[in-house]
Amino acid sequence: MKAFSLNEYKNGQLKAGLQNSDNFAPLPLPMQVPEKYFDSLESEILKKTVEANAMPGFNPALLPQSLPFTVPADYFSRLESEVLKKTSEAIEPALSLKAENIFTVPEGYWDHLLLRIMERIRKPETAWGRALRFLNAPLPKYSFAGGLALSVAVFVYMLAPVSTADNLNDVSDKDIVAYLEQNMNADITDEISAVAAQSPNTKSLSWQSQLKGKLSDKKADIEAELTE
Amino acid sequence: MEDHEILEKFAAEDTRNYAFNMLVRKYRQRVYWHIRKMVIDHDDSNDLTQDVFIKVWNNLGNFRSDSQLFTWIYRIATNECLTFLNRKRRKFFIPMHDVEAELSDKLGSSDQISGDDIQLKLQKAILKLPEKQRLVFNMKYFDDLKYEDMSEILGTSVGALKASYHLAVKKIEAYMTGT
Repeated sequence: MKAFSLNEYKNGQLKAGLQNSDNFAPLPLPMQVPEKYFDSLESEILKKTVEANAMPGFNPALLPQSLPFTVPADYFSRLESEVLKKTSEAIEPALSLKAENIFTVPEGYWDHLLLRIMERIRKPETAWGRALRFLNAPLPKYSFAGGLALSVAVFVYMLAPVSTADNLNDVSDKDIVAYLEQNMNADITDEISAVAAQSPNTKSLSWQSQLKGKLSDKKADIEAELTE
Repeated sequence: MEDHEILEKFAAEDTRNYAFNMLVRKYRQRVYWHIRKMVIDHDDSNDLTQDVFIKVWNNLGNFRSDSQLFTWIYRIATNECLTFLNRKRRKFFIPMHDVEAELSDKLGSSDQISGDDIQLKLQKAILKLPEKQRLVFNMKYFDDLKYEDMSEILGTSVGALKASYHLAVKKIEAYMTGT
């Protein structure tokens, strides 16, 4: 059997109360009070307080009717204005000032304002003005800026120099050999061979040596043909 | 003319202009002075006031009556002021323009300003406040708006506005006493 948790119970009751009413509903209690008890409670308390003054040993007549201190004549009638005066002297002059407006407008300004606004409303907007207003709106503005940044990035990327070694990495060994076999030029093949040998991405040494062998064979053939 | 009458008349095509005229007549001074206290200069205030009412004309059809008309207009005016001041501050995307100093200079030089030294000093003290706090101070101190209305205009809680106003008063007091 699940243990009873007082906190859980209370929270559940509060939650139920809050759900049933717009305002805070007190926890339901099993006790009841007489009808309209709370309506008369205040007057009951007052009555009891008055009765308490008549309790044995307490005699209001024995309380002193006046104090041994005196104040100057009209003191209390002047007190308020004195306090106000002292306060206004103590606080900063600016904040005790009335909120006065120090700004002015040219003469006849208010009469012309309405006319000027209506003129501007009636004036047809130019195509340039419409375009500017459109470009000033947040979405087109940021889209345009983003597009521009992207275009610049693509342009820069495309202009970046690509090394011969990187180019060769993208071409298969087979294609290189086929190309070299078809387009023989000693200088170029030596260069490519050298780059391929230096490249860290060169796939295998066997390919390199195979290529070198082929190239030197071809070179020898060409030289032989030329001497003949 | 009551706001609801203005809105009703604005909704009808044949009375739209009339309603708008009434609206401008009713709110022009409040809008203008609200802006003027923020941007100080009359010409800037004039431009912004016109812009505000043009925005009102363009958007009044979409106005939902769940807020008061004047708080809605105040909100537009407030946004216009803040945009204007930000634009001034970030000219050419460089946030180095000292707008407060410029506004303070205008206080001393404009021929559209009157008032004694203390009043001018008070305005200079107000210019030292951050913009949002300046708005809060102006709306409470000068316009005597209710915090609830200010909350609707600025989209800030009443508690935060009270705190902001309290801080503004303290800062101004310190400035005025030179501490």
